[in-house]
Amino acid sequence: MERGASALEALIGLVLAAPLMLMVGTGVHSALVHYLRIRVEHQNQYALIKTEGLLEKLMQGLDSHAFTLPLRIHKAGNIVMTNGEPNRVLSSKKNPPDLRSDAITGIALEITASYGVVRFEQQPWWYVFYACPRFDRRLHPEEFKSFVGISPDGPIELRGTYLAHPGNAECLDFELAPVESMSVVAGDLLGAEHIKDIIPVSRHHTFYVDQQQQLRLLSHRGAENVENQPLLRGVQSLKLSMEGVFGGSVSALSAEVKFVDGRNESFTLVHKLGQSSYYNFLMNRP
Amino acid sequence: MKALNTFKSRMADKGSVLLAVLLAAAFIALLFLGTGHFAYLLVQMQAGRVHALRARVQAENRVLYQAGDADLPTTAGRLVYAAAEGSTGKHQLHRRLYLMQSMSDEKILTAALIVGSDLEEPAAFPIIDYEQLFMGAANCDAATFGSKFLTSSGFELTPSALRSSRKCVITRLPGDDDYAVKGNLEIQAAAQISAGGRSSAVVIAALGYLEAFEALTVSGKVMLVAGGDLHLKSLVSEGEAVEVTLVSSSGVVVVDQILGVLALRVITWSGAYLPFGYVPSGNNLLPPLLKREVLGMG
Repeated sequence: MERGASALEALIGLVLAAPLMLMVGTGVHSALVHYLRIRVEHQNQYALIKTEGLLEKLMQGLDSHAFTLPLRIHKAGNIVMTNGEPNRVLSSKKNPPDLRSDAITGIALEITASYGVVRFEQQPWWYVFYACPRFDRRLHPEEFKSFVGISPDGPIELRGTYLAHPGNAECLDFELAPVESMSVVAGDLLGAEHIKDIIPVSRHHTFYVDQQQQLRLLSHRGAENVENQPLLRGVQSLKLSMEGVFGGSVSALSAEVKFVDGRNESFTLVHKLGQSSYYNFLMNRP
Repeated sequence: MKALNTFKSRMADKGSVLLAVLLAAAFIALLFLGTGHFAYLLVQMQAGRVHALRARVQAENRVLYQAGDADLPTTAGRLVYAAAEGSTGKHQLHRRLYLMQSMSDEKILTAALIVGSDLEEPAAFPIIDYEQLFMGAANCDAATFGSKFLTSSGFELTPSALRSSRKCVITRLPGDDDYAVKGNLEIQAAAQISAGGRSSAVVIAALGYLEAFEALTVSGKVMLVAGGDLHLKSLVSEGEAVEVTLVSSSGVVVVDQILGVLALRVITWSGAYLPFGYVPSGNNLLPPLLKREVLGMG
């Protein structure tokens, strides 16, 4: 009799508790689903903001000067120099680029730290340029190791060091050699002896996605990669394209970021200053 | 006694159930709180992103607008900048737009002879729009120099003047059309520049040096522009007071002989060497000038 009563009580309890249990179950499930979705969304947003910030920095590099040194997009991870030679990262066993993702290279110049060449000496494979500041900014020792030289034949990337010129605190002796570049199209490198301006390179980077879905920063000094560090997980691939706007002197960078969960986000960045040739910078002195 | 124990046991079970329900509720509340917190972070990130983007664009736009104002701080020589600040809420933004500003006054611009190295303030040397002059310029072939920088005629170039590794060699000029080359220009035979019916000047321009080995006969308005030295063996005027302007952006202007009457204006960085006793009398022909030239944004 008592056992029957207990069973009935349990049955009634179960009937009464079922909706409550269902509500609790649905609530837990819903909360978990939302929690996981929002966590993924949070990660995606973070990845998007960081990627956008990094590409925005490249665009700011484009505004650091008015020369025509555009961002270079390497389609399908084929990171090559301006002469078409592959960058060493392509043969890297550790962090090769993912061939499903585009990569992008940009250079930024410290234009106010430009030095005007007064005279030069040719050495076996490098040049010694005696140069004085064109504007107000003076270089500190070992502040820069990479430069862009401007001659009537165009810009050229240079690598080397500089020392204070004996007896002249203002001017420097630059010992520089022309190098192949990730951004500067130097043609046949004929013009190094006619360089009239030396401009320090403040940043020269490539952003690419490696095969572990990590966005990486590759820093360049000529053909050499001086730094390769992971920046971010969560980006599966980048699709990048550039097009000229306002008559072509200003560029718009369109990026489509694919996240590891397969979702996509797109954005477009436009830089501010129109690009022109180096003629006015070179020929309007001091 | 047994009934009392059963009652106590049932009450204890109910307490456990209540505790379990309370724990489940607390767990659900925590889950909802966590979800809410993440949603809040997400909204905050998106809002922060939009706000930071707006602040950056506003600061950059401000410096671009300020660059149109008359008085900007000068750092050295002709370098001026427009500065603006913005805030993303967390970070301060500082942006500067650097420009080369023309310091030339009316007196300098109207002079028949402007020599940059003689000016009290070298920054007063006019800023010329070479971009416009070299639009559509022709490419040249590679050129080689010896240990001294000499032209094919043996003219010694100013060491500090612009030279190119490329050279265009021509024996005649293309009628009354403008002609510009991306390199040095050697006109190796007697040539004629005729403005024809043009009201504007015919412009012959070279990024490097420009040299005419033989007589260069000019009629109508003519402007010769060289990035480096400009050397003319003989400048012959065909007509009355032909207006000619010679420009060297970084070197010297050398004219060995002038025949006929010229209204000659010379703009040169390092100096002008004209036939003995010849004084340029000036004309209205000025190359395209700029008030400001954008260098970059920092």
